[in-house]
Formats: sequence, C-alpha cells, structure tokens
Amino acid sequence: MIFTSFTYLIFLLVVVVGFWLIRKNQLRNVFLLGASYLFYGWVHPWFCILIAVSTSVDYVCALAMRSHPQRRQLWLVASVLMNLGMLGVFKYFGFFAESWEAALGALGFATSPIELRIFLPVGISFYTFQSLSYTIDVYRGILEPRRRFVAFALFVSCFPQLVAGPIERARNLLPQIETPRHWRAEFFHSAWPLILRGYVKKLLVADNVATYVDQIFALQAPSAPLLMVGGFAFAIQIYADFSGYTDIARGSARLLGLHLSENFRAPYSAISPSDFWRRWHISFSSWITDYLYIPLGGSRVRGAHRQFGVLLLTMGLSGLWHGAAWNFVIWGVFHALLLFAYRSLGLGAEWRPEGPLRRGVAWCVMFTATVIGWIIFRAPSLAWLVGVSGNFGWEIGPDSSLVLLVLLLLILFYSSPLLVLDWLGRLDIEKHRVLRATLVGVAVVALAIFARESAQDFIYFQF
Amino acid sequence: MRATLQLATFVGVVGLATWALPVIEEITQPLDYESEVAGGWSWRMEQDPAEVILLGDSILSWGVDLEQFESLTGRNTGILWAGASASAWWYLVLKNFVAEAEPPPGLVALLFRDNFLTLGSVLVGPQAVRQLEAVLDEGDEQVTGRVLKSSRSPVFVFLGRHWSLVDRRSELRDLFERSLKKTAALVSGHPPESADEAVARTFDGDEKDLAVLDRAAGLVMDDRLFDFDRMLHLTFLPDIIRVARSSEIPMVFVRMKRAPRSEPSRRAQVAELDVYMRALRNYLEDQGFPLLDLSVEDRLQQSHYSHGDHMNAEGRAVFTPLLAAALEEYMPQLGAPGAAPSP
Repeated sequence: MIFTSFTYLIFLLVVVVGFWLIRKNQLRNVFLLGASYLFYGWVHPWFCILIAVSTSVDYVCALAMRSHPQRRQLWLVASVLMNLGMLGVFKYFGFFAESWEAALGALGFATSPIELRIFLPVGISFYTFQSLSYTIDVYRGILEPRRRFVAFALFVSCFPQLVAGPIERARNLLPQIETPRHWRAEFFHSAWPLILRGYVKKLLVADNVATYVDQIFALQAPSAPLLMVGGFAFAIQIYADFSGYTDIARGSARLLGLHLSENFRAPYSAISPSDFWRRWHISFSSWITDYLYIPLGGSRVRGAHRQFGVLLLTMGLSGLWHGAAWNFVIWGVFHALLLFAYRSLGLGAEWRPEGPLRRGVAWCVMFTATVIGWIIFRAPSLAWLVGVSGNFGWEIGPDSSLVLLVLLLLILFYSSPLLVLDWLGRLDIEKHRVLRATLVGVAVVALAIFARESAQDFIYFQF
Repeated sequence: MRATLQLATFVGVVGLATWALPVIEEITQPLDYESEVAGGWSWRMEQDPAEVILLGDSILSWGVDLEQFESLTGRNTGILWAGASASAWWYLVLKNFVAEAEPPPGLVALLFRDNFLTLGSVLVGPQAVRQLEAVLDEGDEQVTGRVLKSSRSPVFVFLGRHWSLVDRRSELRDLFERSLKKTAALVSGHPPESADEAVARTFDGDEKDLAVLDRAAGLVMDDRLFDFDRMLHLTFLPDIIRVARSSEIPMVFVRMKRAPRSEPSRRAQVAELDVYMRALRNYLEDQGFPLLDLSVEDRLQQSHYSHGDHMNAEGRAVFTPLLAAALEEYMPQLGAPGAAPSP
C-alpha cells in the first residue's frame, strides 16, 4: 500500500479511529501491529513472513543477551548474521552473482549463469537496520531488552515508517509505544499540515519533475549541459520524493500520537560534505555513524590512509545499502572522496566560511558536487555511466539552448512549491493564519490540476 | 471566529480557482481532444454508406490515405477512429454505428497495435469517460463502468465528474506548460511555437533507450495487461466478436506496425508481448476471424513516421497500398466495386 493511494487514506482513517476507540494501550498496540502487517502485506502477503522472522529472532537474541550475558556476543552475531543474511539473499544475491560471473568471465573462465529470481521485499533495508540497532543497543547495554513481544514487534513494523523510514532508534520509539497515550487535538493539528506538505512534495514536485529526469536519463548520449540539468532535476525529485514520504509518515504517526524523527534539514543548503550528511537522510547517516563509522575508529583513526580507508568502507557500504548496483557503490565512494578531500583541506564538520561571498562560493561548490553525485546515483546502469563519462560533449547548439531553457523553466515551475514550503518553514505560521488558509487553498487547487493520475512509486521504496 | 475566517479563506481560494481557471479563453476553445481524441466517429454513416470500414485509433487516421485506398480497392470506404482508443470504444462504435448501418458494410478491418485489443481504454479518468460517452447508446452504461473499474485512478474519475477544475486539468496543465515553453522561446530569441519541436528533436532521437525510459517513467504496462486470458474477459474483444458474428459483418483484425524506433523489440516486455500475440492469434483462429500481421512489414521505415507511431505523407503512401493489398483477398466477398454491399 502506498501513501499516495486512495486506499491508504481510507486505511489511515480506519486505523486512527479504531486506535483511539480502544482504551487499553496493550490492545491498541495489538491493533496497530495487525494494521501494520496488513499495510505491509497488502500486495504480497508473504512479505509479512520475513518481517515476522526478523522480529522474532531479534526479540529472542536480545532477551538471550540478558539471560546469558557471558554469551551476549554470540547472540549479537546471530542477530547480525540473520539480518544481513536476509538482506544478502533478498537484496544482493543477484548483484553478487552477476558481478562474480562478470569477474570470472573477464578472467577468461567460462561460467554458467546463476539464476535465482527473488522479488525484493519493499523496505527490507529499513526494517532490518532498525531491528539491528535494537540488538546492538542491548548488546552495548544502552537499552533494556523488552519482554513484551507486541511492543517490540510494533517498533519494527509500525506502518508509517515501515517501508522507507525514518529509521527509528528503539530508545526513541519503543518508550512512546509502551506509554499509554490520550487523544489530543494537537495530534491532528500537527499532523494534517505534515501530510498535506508531503502530498505537495510528492505529487506536485517529485512526480512532475520525474518526467524530465526520466527523459534525460533515457538518452544514451546526453550532452554535458543536458546531463547537469538532469542531475539538478533529479536532486529536486529525490529530495521532494523522499522528504515528502517522510512528511506523510510523520504526519500519519502524529495521528497515532507518535513522534518520528526528522529526516531532512534543508540538505541543499549544505556548504560541505559533512554538513550535507548532517542534513540528508539524517536517521540513516546517524545510524551509519553510530553502528559502522565510529566502531571502525571514526575520526579518531590516525593516518590519512587509514582515515580514507574507513571513509571508503563506510560510504561504499552506505551506497550499497541504497541499491544492489555498482553505480550506488560509486556514488558512496564519490562521497567518501569528497569527505576526505574537504577534511584534508581542514574543512571539517564545524567549518563555516566567513562572509556571504565565501559562503556563496562554498555553497556553489558543494551543490555542484551533490548534483554530480546524483547523476552517478540516477544513472540507469554502470555501462551508461562509463559511456557518458567518456563521451562528454559541451557544445550547445541553437536547439540545445532552447531545450535547456525550456527544461529549466518547467523544472523550476514544478519545484516552486519547495521554495514556498521553505519560506513557510521560516515563518511563524500561527501568526499568519489567513495566509496559511490561502496557501492551503492554493495547494489543493494545484494538486487538483497538476498531480499525476498515476503516481510513481516513492524512489526509496526500492531500497 | 479565527477558524471561520480561515475556512472562508480556504473555500474562497478554491471556489475562485474553480470558477476562474476553467473559463480562461484558451481553454474554452475547441479542445485538441475533440479533433485528436474524439476522432472520426461522427462520420455520417447514413448519408455515405461504406462497403469497407476501417476501425482503429490515431495511427489509423495518420496511416491511411482514404482517397488512395478507395481508388486502389474500388470500394467506398469509411474510417472510424479515435485517438488513444481501445477495445471498449471499438466495441461501442461497432455495435452502435457499424452494425446499425443500412446497408451494412461488407468488410470491417480493425487496426490495432500490440495488446490494445484487450485493453479497456488507453485513456484514464474523465477523458476515458468523455471518449466513451460520445458513442454510448442506451444500456451501454455498464461499459463505462467496466472500463473505469480498470482505470488507474477512480479518485480522479470521481473528482472529474463533480469538479470542473479536475475535469479540465489536462487542458489547464497544457496551458501552463505551453506558456512556459513560449516564454523560453521568446527569451532565447526563437519563434514562440518552436519549443515543442526543439524538445521533440532532442528527445525523439534514435539514441533514446526506450526500454530504460519505459521502466524509468513507469510507462511499462503492468505485466497482467499482457496476460491474454485474464484480459480477454475483462475487456471487450469477446463483445466485438459477438457483434460481428450476430450482425454477420465480415471482420479482419490487422496488427499495425509501430515506428521502428518504438517497435516492441526495442521496448521492455518483449517476451510478454510475444506470448500475448501467440495467444491472440490462437483465439482469433478459434473464433474464425483472420489476423493480418503488418507489424513485420519491412517496407515501412522510421523515415515514414512523423511523430511517435504516426505516419507522415510518405508513410501513408507506402502503408495505404500495403493495407489495400492485405485486405484484397477479403474483398471478393463484396459485390462489384462501387456497388452497395449485399446484406
């Protein structure tokens, strides 16, 4: 079930009403768990088996760590192996098999193709990471293992954030699930603007800009300027798409009295790679920092080579998390190089250039690098990326200048709601209620005219 | 009080837009829809009885030169087409216009592409409703219902029926996009109408990887739409067969050739379409209706197409004789050329 479907709106209404009609918190959690499994198994009911297995194993492992503290490392390994094993089989098997065959082929060995047609379960990367963070936190002694299975299962599968995050930490979400909540009008008042904002971002901006992105990236030999416009458009699309999803998720959760983490903080205003990763997909980047980068030594590692190695491994795996394809890995490596280059120049996380000119230049450089990164990310295949990289054409013919201008105007037109939303974010909207009502009216009219009838899937669903 | 003011503001904005936008002059002009989508269904059957009827979508209207076809076959011919039409529209036209014609035609050729014979409608939402309503007869209301059931967005169908802003949304969107394109052309010193052509030249080139584009843009049809047995009973091919049989109209199904750069072999779902076509051929054979496959015709080249799968004048000059020749063996069932067909 996707957030932009009419089915979801009906589902959300029924769940919210049903949830608040139930008095006992434990019963509410059982109800919400059932609703979450219904949401997840709507198209492919067998997906529920996977999430149930992952939940059960992590539940048992965490309890076993407490009852057998001397063997807690063993239980942690079991949990990690199960979660990463599931990811490996369902998400990466085909990728590794193909890469293995290609490598053997390149070395002159004849191979027979390994065929295993596995359907990628939606959101598997998100919930395995979320569940894994629980067992790791229990292992580290930061978190008490939970005895109530329903509360833990709901933490793993709670439907608003199940398929595309935010990747919640148990210490944030579990206490909210366990604490009895009472309906407050504030839940509704804080939820609907988030949900509307999410629909505007997804249906007005992301889906419309996607049309131009798809056309540009379907060309086998786009010129460099056209490719940069494509990258710029994709930067807008992926931000509107993913942050729109997060807004709807957070709004839906608010209706249930839950508070999900922020996932984006104006990412394209970043002036350095470290700054970017503090603003983009925050729940994922903080997960990677806490459970991979810091355990590998983080910024405490001595020596440039080692530091680069840690960054390369962390960001390469981050790229691979996004998808089982080499262009995602290269995208991760590209960001590792950026991070390393900035750090080598002494431009770390706390760097703030002085003066508007310097800040402007820093922003331009970082935004251009981000767009180049998105081109790598969006490339239809590695072969396409290699072909395009070796064949750049910078000439702008009379046609091309007009086409570039047309595309830029259309992209800016469809992305203008993002600017309005950004401006609104800086206003104290409670003081401008008529303005808010006017903008809500404009948003509804714009959705009626410009929302596409067949909404595209959210980009991050495939991860 | 504050809440009332906010509500009034919201209703005012939506009401004003609903009233003002759909009456913009350019939008109230005859729609492209009327000429491009509604097509040639209103052809006067009674005043100009035809011996041969060609039924299909826009690629038929762009692909056949009527005068040339009539002179080659010596048969008075009518073309009935609607842009982006599929089995529901073809069925309704066949039942309500062709089978009702007096005298009835001696041959109907239904020209289709790929799996369109078992698609309810290519259009979705209000456009699909409008296209079908133009050819509905009493008792046909369930046809619209069946088509809309398979529509991708029943919400838009509902809203389109009750909210003029949604009903005219495609025209409004076109208006905004056209204005932006004109602005871009003017700013860059080009003629106002040149933007579309420039964009088409950039993106319609041979280098486009259609399979990638289809998948990326979500244009790949749901695999279930290539499941012939499933779609057969959801759509209107059996109804077309039934009407043709009950009204004793000889009927031939002709698969059209798509532009080589968009032909199925370059697109996604090649295998699915192959399996589908075998099932369609078997079905029509069982039903006793011939299927002519002109999709493999080598004489039609990319240069014979103007845009998309629509042919240019040169393409029409090549395709019209091909079609006339392909239908030739079914012509003898008619009377002497020029004579009214026997019932």
